[in-house]
Amino acid sequence: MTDIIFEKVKKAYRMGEITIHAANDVSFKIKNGELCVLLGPSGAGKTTVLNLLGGMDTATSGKIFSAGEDITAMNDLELTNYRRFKIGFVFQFYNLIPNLTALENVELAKQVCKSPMKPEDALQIVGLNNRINNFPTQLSGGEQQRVAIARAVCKNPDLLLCDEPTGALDTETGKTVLGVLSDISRKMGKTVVIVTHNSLLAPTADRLIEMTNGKVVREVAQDAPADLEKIQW
Amino acid sequence: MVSILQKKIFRDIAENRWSFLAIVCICSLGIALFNGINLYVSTVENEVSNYYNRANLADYWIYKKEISESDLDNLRSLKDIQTAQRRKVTDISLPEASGAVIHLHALDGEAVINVPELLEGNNLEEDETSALLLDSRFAEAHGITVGDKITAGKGETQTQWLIKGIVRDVEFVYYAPEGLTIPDYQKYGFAYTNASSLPDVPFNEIILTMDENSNLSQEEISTGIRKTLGGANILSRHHQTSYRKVADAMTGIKQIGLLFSIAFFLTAALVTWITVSRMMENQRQHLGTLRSLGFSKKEIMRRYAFFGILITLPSMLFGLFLARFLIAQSLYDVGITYYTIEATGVRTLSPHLVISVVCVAAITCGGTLVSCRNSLRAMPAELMRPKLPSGGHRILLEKISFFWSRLSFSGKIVTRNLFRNKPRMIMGLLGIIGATALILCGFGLMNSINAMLDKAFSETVQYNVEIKFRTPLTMDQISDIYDTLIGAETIDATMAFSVYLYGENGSLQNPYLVVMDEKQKSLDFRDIEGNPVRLPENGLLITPRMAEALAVNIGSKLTAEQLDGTVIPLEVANIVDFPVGNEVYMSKTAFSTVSEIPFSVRTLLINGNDLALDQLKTDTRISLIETKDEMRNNMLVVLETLQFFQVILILFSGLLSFAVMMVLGNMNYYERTRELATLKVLGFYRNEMEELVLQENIWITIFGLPFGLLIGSLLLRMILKQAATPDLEIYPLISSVSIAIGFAITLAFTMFVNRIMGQKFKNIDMVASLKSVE
Ligand SMILES: Nc1ncnc2c1ncn2[C@@H]1O[C@H](COP(=O)(O)OP(=O)(O)O)[C@@H](O)[C@H]1O
Ligand SMILES: [Mg+2]
Repeated sequence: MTDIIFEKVKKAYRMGEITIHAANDVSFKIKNGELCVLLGPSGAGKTTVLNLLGGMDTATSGKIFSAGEDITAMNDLELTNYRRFKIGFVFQFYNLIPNLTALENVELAKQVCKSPMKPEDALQIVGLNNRINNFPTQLSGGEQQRVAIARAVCKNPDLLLCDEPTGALDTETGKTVLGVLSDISRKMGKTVVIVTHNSLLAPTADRLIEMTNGKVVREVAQDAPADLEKIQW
Repeated sequence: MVSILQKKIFRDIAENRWSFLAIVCICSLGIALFNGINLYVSTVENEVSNYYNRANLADYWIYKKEISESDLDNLRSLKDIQTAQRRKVTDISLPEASGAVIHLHALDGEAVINVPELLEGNNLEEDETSALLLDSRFAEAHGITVGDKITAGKGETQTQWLIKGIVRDVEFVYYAPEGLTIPDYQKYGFAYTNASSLPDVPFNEIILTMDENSNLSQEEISTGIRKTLGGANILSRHHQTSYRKVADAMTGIKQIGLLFSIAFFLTAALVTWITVSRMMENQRQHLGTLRSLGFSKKEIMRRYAFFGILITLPSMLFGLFLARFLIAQSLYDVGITYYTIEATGVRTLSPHLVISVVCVAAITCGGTLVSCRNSLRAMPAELMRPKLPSGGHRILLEKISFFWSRLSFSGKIVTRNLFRNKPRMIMGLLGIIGATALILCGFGLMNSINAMLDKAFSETVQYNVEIKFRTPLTMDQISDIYDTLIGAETIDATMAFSVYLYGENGSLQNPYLVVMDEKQKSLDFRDIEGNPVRLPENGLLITPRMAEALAVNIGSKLTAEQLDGTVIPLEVANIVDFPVGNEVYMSKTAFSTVSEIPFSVRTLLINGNDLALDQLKTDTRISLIETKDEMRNNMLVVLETLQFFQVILILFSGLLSFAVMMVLGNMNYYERTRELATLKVLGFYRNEMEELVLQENIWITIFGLPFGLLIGSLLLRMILKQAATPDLEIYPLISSVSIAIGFAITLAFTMFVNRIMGQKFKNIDMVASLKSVE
């Protein structure tokens, strides 16, 4: 069963005289439960595609199906519900709420969904169960990113979207974070999409989508993804 | 670069336009309030004092039965006397104008003191008889014009007077004779004629002016005059009704206005300061760039001071506009109807503008510069890095696990947020406290006035009609009036005359001494605790404000001096709580033990229904018949300016609290867009976001309300203290209904602003807000 379908999706930004096509006829498919890496240089349109998929932005044209629903046809409230019940988002800069402890940041996600995970369990998954009462400023970047992942996971979403989750982290921490993400896909069966400009991650994915200049240039399903531990950074 | 910097400032303003507008609005209102009141006061004071100078207002009015030419000459030779003039004063009544009374001044030759100002017609010829210069207000009220003739008196004493001219008189800027609270141009007027028109009336008044740099005290002058004339009634400017009423009114308004302005300004200043500093803090990175480009701190600070000017200038213009055309003009329109004076119109400028604009500039530029300087202390490189988001920390409340564990998740977040951002909370609190205090003070004024009137006219005053006689009469002389009032339940005859009361420390008051039978039923006196008090057989009853003004207490000795110099020793028997009237009270028995003066009737206090009052309306012995309702209404008219203040106050403080909430809401919104965007991505609905982010404004408001009530009560107390005159004392009272309405208004504003902010949540662009660390 195919879960995510992009059909000739365009996203154009008008900047006065010129129009920038951040996504230009983007089409691809991602299967349920896959770990997908969206690869491309900076400015390729990866974030644009991810935001469209996450219902944070609307496409100029084309269709996007997620679990059989066309999200390009959704209104504001439907998009909110889509984000609320189906999507978990992880950002490059964590975007934790500074005034809430790690646990509370995760609990925040719990507030909005129907069948949340226990926040403590979510933190357990990312390996942070001993720092749950710390505030974001008291945590390192990697720890903060793991809290962000826990927050996304806690919602028990069908789809976990990560925009450069390791972009602000050093190699070792980055690996830990990626490990967590691949576990979530492999062990929990969630669909995970990771956006990155780091091609070293490519071999670890079930599916690899490469973008340049707003276009998909390569889409491959990798039947035997490499083990994260074996990758040389 | 400079122009880019300025461009940047303008762009920042455009971005924060609502906060900016709110601040300009707050500053304008502050300037408007302070200037409006002072423009009005200075306009009237200026008009009046010019008029006093131009028309040479007398310093003293001296009354004696008969004043000879030599008396006048002797008086003129006294030390420091500039000029003195003799007049005949008498009252004539006009039966055709339902018994209206004209107070007639007759002069020998031209007036040099209290020179009447001719508005229409001609001055009197020398030796012209039976011709008048008539009071303009009286003429207007009766439709009399130059060339008309009026008839005075009845039967044989009837006289005809030709109106030669219409005049204003500097002694009667505020004409309220016979103890009227407000002018009554239908009943009372004045006029000028030549002395030869009144051959039967002796000269009985001297008006005089003193040398400007005389340093004689009022007492020394009075003693000198009495010695020269062998006794006389002496009235100084400060006891002359018109002069005193105008001066008192202006001082009262000025002081109340100052208090209001200060309270308003403090609130406004605080909100402005914090907002401006906040806006500057958001400029951190920009400052760093400028520093790294090599601009000196001084240059940068100078540029940023411009921001303060951008707030001050429009505030000044808008504030001045409101001051001149809204506040001063409305006050003037209300006030000037009672003052007979050439209305030159409200002034546009007064020195107060400079004061208030300097204050606003100091706060806006000060706020900018201080926070700019604080930022500039850091090194350029440090500045360019974004300021670390202030970390979260646990608050004290979390230690109280009983309380904390009971809070909902959003409750916890709201509570912690409330205490995390202290400047915002403090600003919100103080803004709300200030605005609530001002609103409640406004409502309180209304409550207090009504409570005072209720107390005076429902509790103490037990009569419902008062009849005043033109001259003191014996009981025999009014027995026919008693017959007319046959239906009355009670009638109390009272004697009343003006006295100077000296306290033990020498302070002076000028009340009426009212003498009544000890069995009187007209005034139900109560002491401060509310216990009934009867007129004692010894000593006198005074009001608390009189006791305070004279610094006396029960048992203290007082000296009463009549206008003719007769001294009556007195003792304070009790203090009675009667909020209106500049009077002290004695029983007949008590009076007869300290004075030889026989009892004579000046007023009748009557309680009863269906009285045949119409019959008495044309009685020439009677100067005034006033019902309780009329008295109450007249009091309300006197308090008109105070009521006007109350409207301005409620209006302005409403606007202030709205602006404060607006600034607060915007600040909250801009500083937390990232947080809001995160919530939006997580799929929070708008109402859930509102609960998490905006609920704290409601809590701030709720915390602020009781303190607002407290400060409001204090402010009201101070204002009413300033507004107290010997005639009137208003006790502060804010009714529970007012409190409820005041609280509701403030809360409603908060919720309204929350609504507006909630609408803005829709427009938060998740993608843009979360793209990078700002
Ligand atoms: N809000 C925007 N306005 C204009 N252009 C934009 C906007 N957002 C992104 N772009 C442009 O779209 C292109 C793709 O951006 P993005 O999806 O962020 O790339 P990536 O994530 O692959 O680095 C870039 O050229 C960028 O400049
Ligand atoms: Mg990107």
